[in-house]
Amino acid sequence: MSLPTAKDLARAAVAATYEVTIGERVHQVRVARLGDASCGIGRRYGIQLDDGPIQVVETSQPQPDVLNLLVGDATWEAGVDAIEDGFSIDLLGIRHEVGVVDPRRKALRTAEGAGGGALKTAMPGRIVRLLVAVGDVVAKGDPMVVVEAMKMENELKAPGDGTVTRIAVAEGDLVDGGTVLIELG
Amino acid sequence: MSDTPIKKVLVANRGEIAVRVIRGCHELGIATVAVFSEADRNALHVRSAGQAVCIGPAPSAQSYLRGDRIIEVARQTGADAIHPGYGFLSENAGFARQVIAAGLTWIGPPPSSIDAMGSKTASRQLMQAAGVPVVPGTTERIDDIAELQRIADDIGYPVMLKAAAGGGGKGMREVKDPADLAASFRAAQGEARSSFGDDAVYIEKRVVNPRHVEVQVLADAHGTTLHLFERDCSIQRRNQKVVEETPCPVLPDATRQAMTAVAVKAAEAVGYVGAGTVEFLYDAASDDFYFLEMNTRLQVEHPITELVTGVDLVQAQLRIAAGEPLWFSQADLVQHGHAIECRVYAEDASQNWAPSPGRITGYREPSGPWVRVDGGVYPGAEVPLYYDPMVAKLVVWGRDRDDAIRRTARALREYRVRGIRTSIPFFRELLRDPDFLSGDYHTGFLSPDRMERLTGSGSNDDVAILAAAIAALEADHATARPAADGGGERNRWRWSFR
Repeated sequence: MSLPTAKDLARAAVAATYEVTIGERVHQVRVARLGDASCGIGRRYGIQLDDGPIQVVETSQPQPDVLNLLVGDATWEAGVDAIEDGFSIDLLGIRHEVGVVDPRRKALRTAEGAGGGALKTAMPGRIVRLLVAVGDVVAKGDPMVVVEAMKMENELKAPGDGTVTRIAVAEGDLVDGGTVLIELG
Repeated sequence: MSDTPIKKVLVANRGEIAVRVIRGCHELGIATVAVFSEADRNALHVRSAGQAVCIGPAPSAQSYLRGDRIIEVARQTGADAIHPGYGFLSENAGFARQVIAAGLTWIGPPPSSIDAMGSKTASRQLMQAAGVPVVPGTTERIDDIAELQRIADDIGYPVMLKAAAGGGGKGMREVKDPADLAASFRAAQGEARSSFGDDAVYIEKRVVNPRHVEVQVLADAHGTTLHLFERDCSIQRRNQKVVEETPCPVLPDATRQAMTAVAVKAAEAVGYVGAGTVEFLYDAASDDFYFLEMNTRLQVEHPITELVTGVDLVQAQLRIAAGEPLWFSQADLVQHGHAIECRVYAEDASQNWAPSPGRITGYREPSGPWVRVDGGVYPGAEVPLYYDPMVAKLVVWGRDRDDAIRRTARALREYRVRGIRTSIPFFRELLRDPDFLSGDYHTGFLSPDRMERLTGSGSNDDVAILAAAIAALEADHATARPAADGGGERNRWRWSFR
């Protein structure tokens, strides 16, 4: 099978260019469906990071939230979970949080103006202590709430500067991971 | 074991150890009763047992620590024995006495043995009297500097000065140079006085870079006490064991013989019956070992001993409790090959071991030759935030240490847990660490520096980018998406290749 060219990626019917963020790295990633996988099961993609070489990836989906990837001569199993503005990719038990945004959609969102910020828990737990009240002015990094999980207390800190506009939980509450605890304006 | 007086065992525990005990009972034809808290209705131990009874709300103090309620359930269900597992009520002599007073069989040592080993100072004096080596030093306060200097010279530097009422490192001083002894002593006394209102200070030899080596013992009610060799549990984090192996990779044979003989002596000194573990500090440089404490119960890491000796320790506990004599002698026991255990914690090692309770959305255990998983979870299981974060133990046997390490690495590669973070990726890196591979490690092995090295790598960002880009493309172009799916959000990224 001949290697795909940039022209093939540009011509593909199902294709997109995303702004992809992982850690400190930001890439423009062009991804295009190139048809069926060579074995007939699954799909074949061409992917280009910035101006780098085009990589061919074949995928199958052995389980609903698992992608098996054939990349060059290696095979990888990726657990895929959607997160806000991207995906959490599990490779050999290590979570890689990858931001994937369509630049056009991102522009739209910025125009709406998000403002403020919200403190969320990453893990489920019990609210032990609230360290702030509505109206308090906080600086980024200030401790705001203590959450207990598995006999360990964890202090959650302000994600940015602002004024506490809402406290959504009370001491003693049990909360799920991802719950908004405190909103800042 | 058909004529055993034990017909039904109540397992007063949860998680993997409850499942392990239930397995041992069922193998001997003994019926089982699980107890559970409201958080554990769907737990694996409840699903595994013949009967199951709810004993209270999620917090341990209102459920798994409710000895009175547990004994009541044993009566109601017609159980004739209670197995406490480890943790919770397992080393509570008062509970053991209540069990016995209720006419039930306690699958554990006599309460008097638990008492004797329960107090650090009392057990130390008892062990000294029995000729068991303890860390040299005093257990009583010292006030005279000249006497202190004499004792320090006697036991050898470095020494530790410790506040008798101490804890948390307060009033503790390490002294390396005899010239510093007097000043350090006064500083420790002052700190002890201000922290605890008691300036009593005692002196102990500082064992530098010790290993934690422990000996498994089994004693029947007919006067026979045997040892089942040692386990090395030096890979620890915050005094919590993380990886264990047997044999200890650096223990000379003569020292092994001496240590195991001492362990038997220690068990005999407290009239021990059942399965127990005698823990030692081992100074590999000087080849000295010192009694630390005795755990009067089954240990978390008991499976590695089972794999190298072929003795099922839970079955042994049940048979001993039923009054049977040990059915093998010391000469029958050999250490065959090598075994390693990795404790799978629901913790994110890369985030300073932050707890990671929640729902296990995907779970695939490793298998294949000589790979054993003692687990308490399954796909879809909830890991509650109320209890110990250990969810499973990977236990692997190999013909020698190298073989066991390779096989463990292979099994860790197969092990998939989704939905919660676990210590599995950390173990993959640990098994490549040159100092671990050489066997040259001690209880301080997991230093902050090493932790950073072991958790910093292992990521495959480039592959993650490819997977995420494909997932995004498919989510954005998914056909026949339900209209009410939140518009534009990718909470349903799934698609199907048909």
